[in-house]
Amino acid sequence: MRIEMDDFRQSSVVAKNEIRKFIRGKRFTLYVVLTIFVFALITALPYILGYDPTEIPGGAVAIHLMFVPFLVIIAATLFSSVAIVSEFEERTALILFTRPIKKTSIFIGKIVGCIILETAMLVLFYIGMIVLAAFHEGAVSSGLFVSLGVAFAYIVSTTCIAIFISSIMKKGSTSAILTFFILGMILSIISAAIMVSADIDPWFMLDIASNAITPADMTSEFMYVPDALTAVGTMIGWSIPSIILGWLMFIRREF
Amino acid sequence: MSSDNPIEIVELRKEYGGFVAVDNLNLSVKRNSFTGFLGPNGAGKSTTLKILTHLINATSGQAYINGIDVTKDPKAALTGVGTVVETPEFYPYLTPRETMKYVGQIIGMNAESIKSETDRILEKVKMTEWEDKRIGTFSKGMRQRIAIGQALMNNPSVVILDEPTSGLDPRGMAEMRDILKNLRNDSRDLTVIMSSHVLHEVSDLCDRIALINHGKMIIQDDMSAIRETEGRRRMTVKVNTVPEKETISRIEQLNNVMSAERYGNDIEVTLDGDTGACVKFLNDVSALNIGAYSVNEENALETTYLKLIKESR
Repeated sequence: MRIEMDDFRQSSVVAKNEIRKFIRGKRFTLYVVLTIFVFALITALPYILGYDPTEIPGGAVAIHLMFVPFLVIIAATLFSSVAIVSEFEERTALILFTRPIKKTSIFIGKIVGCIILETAMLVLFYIGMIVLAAFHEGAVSSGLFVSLGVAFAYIVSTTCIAIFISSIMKKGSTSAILTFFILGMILSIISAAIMVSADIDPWFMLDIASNAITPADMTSEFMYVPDALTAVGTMIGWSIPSIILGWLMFIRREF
Repeated sequence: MSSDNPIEIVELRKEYGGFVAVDNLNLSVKRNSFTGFLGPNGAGKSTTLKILTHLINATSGQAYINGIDVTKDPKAALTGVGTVVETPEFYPYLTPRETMKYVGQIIGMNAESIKSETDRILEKVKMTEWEDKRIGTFSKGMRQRIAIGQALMNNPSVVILDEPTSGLDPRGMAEMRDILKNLRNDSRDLTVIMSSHVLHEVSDLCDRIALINHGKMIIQDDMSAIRETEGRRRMTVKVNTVPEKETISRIEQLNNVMSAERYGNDIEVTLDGDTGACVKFLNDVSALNIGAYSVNEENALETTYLKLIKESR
């Protein structure tokens, strides 16, 4: 397969359209409202319950960090899981796919669009946490920036899995539900089963890797948290086969 | 590949499990022709056009557009090609102008060309008034006009249309036919292949016909040659009074007329001969001074179509 500069240019056009699609849609509004609500709720709760947020074990943003994987999963469910399937379900493929553009360029554009949008939302959430930490503690821990890096890797891996599911499903709703259950529940069930039955730390499981989003010094001692590098490696390990399988399914898929 | 045939399909085959949808089909579409691609439901028209537009893959065979095999290099083959396959849907959050921009960017047009092309096309498909409204609120007819419009971005040399009036109401169909007629009349270098079930629309628009059944080519020829295959033509003569027996009898005595009979307030005539016979008949009827104000040929294509489909079963 010959790759030309024009293929990347076309991918960027698709990515921009993907971002615009989500920003103008109701899902994005819902996501923004939910994220702001979650942030505000976690921030306000210590004051409502009458204790000092700096007394929270792990610091003022420890609880915020615990919810980051959940927000990433919701983003993958709302955006990435419908990126491919919607072209077939809503028949927009009849416009896009009949143009002089490689399916691979479309595929890359879709993934990049989803990752940019989800990362932008995540960065805003982290900016909120940085401001909060600076306000309460007068300084920002470097662990927060490491956490952002791990969270980005988690976004990439969940996007790759969601895109793979989107490449094989016929309906967007099914794809979204499946993505949510796999990322949010099924992986956790398998990890728990491995821990209980095999008595090993399942560092290779994606949900366990996502624990590293919260730095070890901010988490409970009873929770298994792999180090950041192992977590990122695991996330890359999940991303590569997902993206290859998704790409293969997509380029073979007929309308 | 002949440079006179921008679309050339060679031994094209598509199988779904054991079912053969397209059976070693051969088709040549002449340069600057408007070819009607006909056949009953399930004949393989849409499958063929979907292979040609790279929506599905062929089991075997080749489909060339401007000399490039779409099954091997779809990106190169589809360059300079406009398509409307079935009833496409648009991104509902985009306006017609944004849709044209998106398509223009995909095909590599610069910002200036996109703007001027968009202005020209929206005017052509009569959508200027709605250019900044989101497509999600549009009727099916309006969306189909946008579909034709996006297919015309950057002056394609080949346009592929799969049932462009399907599912439209009579007004939408008429508007779409007008757009297609103008397209045919305006363009000097444009080759169009259009599948349709609406034979009078095909008669109106197309100068060539390709008829397939069971995935195989039955006939491909000029429209006039296909009309001649039947040999007989049915004409309807309208006169300004209720036709009398004497009027009908005078028509019956004209050259090439096999029969003439009253049908309501019209006279139906069966004519034996080619287009030349029709011209002579028109002149002869005018010369009779019977108050004839209209002579219409009934859809000869329909008769030929039904006959050929029946024979191919």
